[in-house]
Amino acid sequence: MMKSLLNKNINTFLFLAILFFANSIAYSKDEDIPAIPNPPRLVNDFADIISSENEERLEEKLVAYNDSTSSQITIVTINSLEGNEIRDFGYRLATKWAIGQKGKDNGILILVAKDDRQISIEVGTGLEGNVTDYSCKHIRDELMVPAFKQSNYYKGLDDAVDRLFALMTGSFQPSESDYAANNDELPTWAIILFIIILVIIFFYFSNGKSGGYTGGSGGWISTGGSSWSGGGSSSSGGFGGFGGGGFSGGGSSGSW
Amino acid sequence: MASAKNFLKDYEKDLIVATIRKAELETTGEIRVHIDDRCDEKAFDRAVKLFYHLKIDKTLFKNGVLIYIATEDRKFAVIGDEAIHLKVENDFWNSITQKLHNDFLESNYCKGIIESIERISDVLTNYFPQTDNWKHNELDDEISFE
Repeated sequence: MMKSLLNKNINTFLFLAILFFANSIAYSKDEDIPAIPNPPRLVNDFADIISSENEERLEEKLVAYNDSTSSQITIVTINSLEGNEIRDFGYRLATKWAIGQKGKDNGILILVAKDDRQISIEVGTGLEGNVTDYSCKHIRDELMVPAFKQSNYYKGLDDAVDRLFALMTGSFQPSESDYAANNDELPTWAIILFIIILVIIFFYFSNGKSGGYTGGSGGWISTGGSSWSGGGSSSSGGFGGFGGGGFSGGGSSGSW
Repeated sequence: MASAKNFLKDYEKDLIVATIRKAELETTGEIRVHIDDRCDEKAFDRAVKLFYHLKIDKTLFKNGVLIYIATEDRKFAVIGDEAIHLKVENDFWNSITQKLHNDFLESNYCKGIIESIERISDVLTNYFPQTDNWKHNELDDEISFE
């Protein structure tokens, strides 16, 4: 009876010891990853490659993006990867810091290892539709590397952030020439495809089908380029005394 | 029917607000977007009324811009306060409305609005750069509806 109880205790002890040991292995695996700063910041210049003034400017910009889109861009610079592979390090850092919104996985991590001269852009799966691997490569090679070579780290990061934001909002589409460098075959058939699409659009419109605008009566109101309805071109004068004041600004109007 | 509220998808509205916020980072200028269902007068006249109603005329540097759209009547106007107008003249406003006209014809509503905001932002940033001692948002960035 006594013996079996002891055995059981030893078993428990062993189990706890193994658990503790396993846990410490798991812990040590991420020990090389910097701790999340408190309070958390979006620009974490551990390698001190940008001036504190520019750091604030970037931080302000990223916070504004974060507030307005909920997507989060985080910048981390480190001195050395200490033998780690940068993608692996970036992935573990993004996971440990839980970059992006929970459940949406919409974070982006820009990781710069100064002494290793390596850059990684990790994109959460929630954003991969907009920010492709190819776009990231383009950002690294065309925007960041040239600036970094001149030690202008701020410009490289700032341009990268602007481009990422444009990609996320869909206001920037990678152009055909961006791809041309990657694939010489593309332009030829892309041009043919473009012509085909043009022809289709031409026929589509010449059939008088109003493209996609539900509720439209069909047939566009032709404004003939510059013949805007409304007081567009008369904007030099006052605009007819609204509210006693009169509008002294300018503007233009149109229809579609 | 494309009423003012469903003219843009929710995420498109978010993108537009985000673009406005981004556009205003480097400038003291202010940009607003207002969307109506109907507009039974000239879009320009309605925009001017809204300009006062939304207090866009109250910016310190007289550099507010309003993008106005009436979805069912398919009319729009882009108007800016006097300080901007003094700098840009009519060609600028006409180029923006020309662009919106082209994009809207192809149902690219969100794209047209966002790229117009960016063009306006470039001009605002050029003529009315942000200064260190004037860093606050004078007007709401949200899209307003009637």
